[in-house]
Amino acid sequence: MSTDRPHIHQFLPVLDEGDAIGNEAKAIQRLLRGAGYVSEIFVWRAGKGQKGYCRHYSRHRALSAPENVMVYHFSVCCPITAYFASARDRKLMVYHNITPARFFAGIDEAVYYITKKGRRELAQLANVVECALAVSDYNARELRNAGYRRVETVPLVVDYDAFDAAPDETLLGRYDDGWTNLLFVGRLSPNKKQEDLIRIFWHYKRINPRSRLFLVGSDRQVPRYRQVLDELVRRLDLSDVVITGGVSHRALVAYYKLASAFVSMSEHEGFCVPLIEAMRFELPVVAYDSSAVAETLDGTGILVREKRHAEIAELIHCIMKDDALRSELVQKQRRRVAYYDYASTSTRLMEAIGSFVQARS
Amino acid sequence: MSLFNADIDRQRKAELEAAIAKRVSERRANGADPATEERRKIGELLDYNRREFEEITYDLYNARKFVRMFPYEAEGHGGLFGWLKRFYRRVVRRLLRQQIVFNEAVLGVLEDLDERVKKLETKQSGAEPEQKQ
Repeated sequence: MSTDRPHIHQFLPVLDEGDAIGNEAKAIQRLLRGAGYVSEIFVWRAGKGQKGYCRHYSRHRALSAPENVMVYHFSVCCPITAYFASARDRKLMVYHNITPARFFAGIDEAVYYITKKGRRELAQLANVVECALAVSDYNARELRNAGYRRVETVPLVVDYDAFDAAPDETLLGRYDDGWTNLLFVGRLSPNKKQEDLIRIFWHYKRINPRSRLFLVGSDRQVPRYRQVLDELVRRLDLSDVVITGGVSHRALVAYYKLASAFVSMSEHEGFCVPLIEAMRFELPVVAYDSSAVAETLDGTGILVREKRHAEIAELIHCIMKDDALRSELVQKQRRRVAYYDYASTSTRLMEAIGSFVQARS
Repeated sequence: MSLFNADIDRQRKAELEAAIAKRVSERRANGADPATEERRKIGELLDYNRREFEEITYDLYNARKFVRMFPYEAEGHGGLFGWLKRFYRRVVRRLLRQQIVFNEAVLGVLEDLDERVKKLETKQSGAEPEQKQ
């Protein structure tokens, strides 16, 4: 290992299993170590089973040096921000976007406050970081509007090959019965609009009674939203809506394998990794046109312009019964999957980090 | 407005849209409008981001009442248990967050009212010369 190279350490608020940002941090660490850099992950809080991968950010102080690089994955306000701003190391930000606070008004004042404060912290860091990497052009525009001068778009580094893992056999046994399974993957949150998916499914169930809706994703961030969704299912008297909560990687693979189509009505996404994951599993994607969704799909899949629930249910039905249309959509989605493959995204990221490191040395 | 965008043959897309519109209108014609039925069943459940001020104010009132149970200056009371201090701080943080949400909600309404007053003033100032004539 080269000793004259600067250390490149990453910082993120929370490292959780299955979280897109955490997965990217681990992938970047592998790449950096592979390239000969000393690289650790520092967090404010480690999720269950993640303590072996990271350290508390207060322990970075002993490693801090002006020639070293701090990479801050920014997505929410966090005590790390103040430490990051005051440290003497060189500073690089990877911006994953902050959900606008308005989505949480009236449903969770704590998350409302955190997201609001996050926007303020983002603006405060504009003059602190040397360079910011955005995972989409949509995020890059937000950074420029917040006053960031040096911004580059580098797609999220995700090891999609991890989805070659064996699926959870119990789930396959339970649900592999020839029914049409609609899937959405993402934490239960008001901006992801799982409520619209349930409403669409209510219409779809009338067209195709042999169908299910899987809503896969953690329900811990906004517990009250989970209650709203449960109540919505009850009021609509819907059966076969499976709200899973957080799942293991093998269970996630099983849900992708069981799914017939991926449907998203999310109104705010900085990138939306599950869109690419669904494409990798050759699922036709139907997604609402908002924030970075159109950019991630880049003309592939079906982009819904208006939330007309009954019509969207009919659209899904048309895709499900038309084999030729479905295979045409899936075939076009393959080129998007190829664009985001691990080899090309990791090369682009390492080039960006390499040029940042060399800019001073 | 077209329901969706997709990289498929234009003719095929038009056929698909026509088929969807036909099926939806058929379902409407065959009985009660499903969309209306759906909205009736849901009620006001999804209007969670339009909570009334009274509700938020009531939350604040409750939180303040709760805080009064604790000493005003937690740090000044050395005899307090550590867990009690932590609990007290948690309650205060929650109260402050609610206060922020409430203040912003009130500000939003005040801005709306201000805009409405301005519009009325503009209308009035435009109407006055005509009345004089």
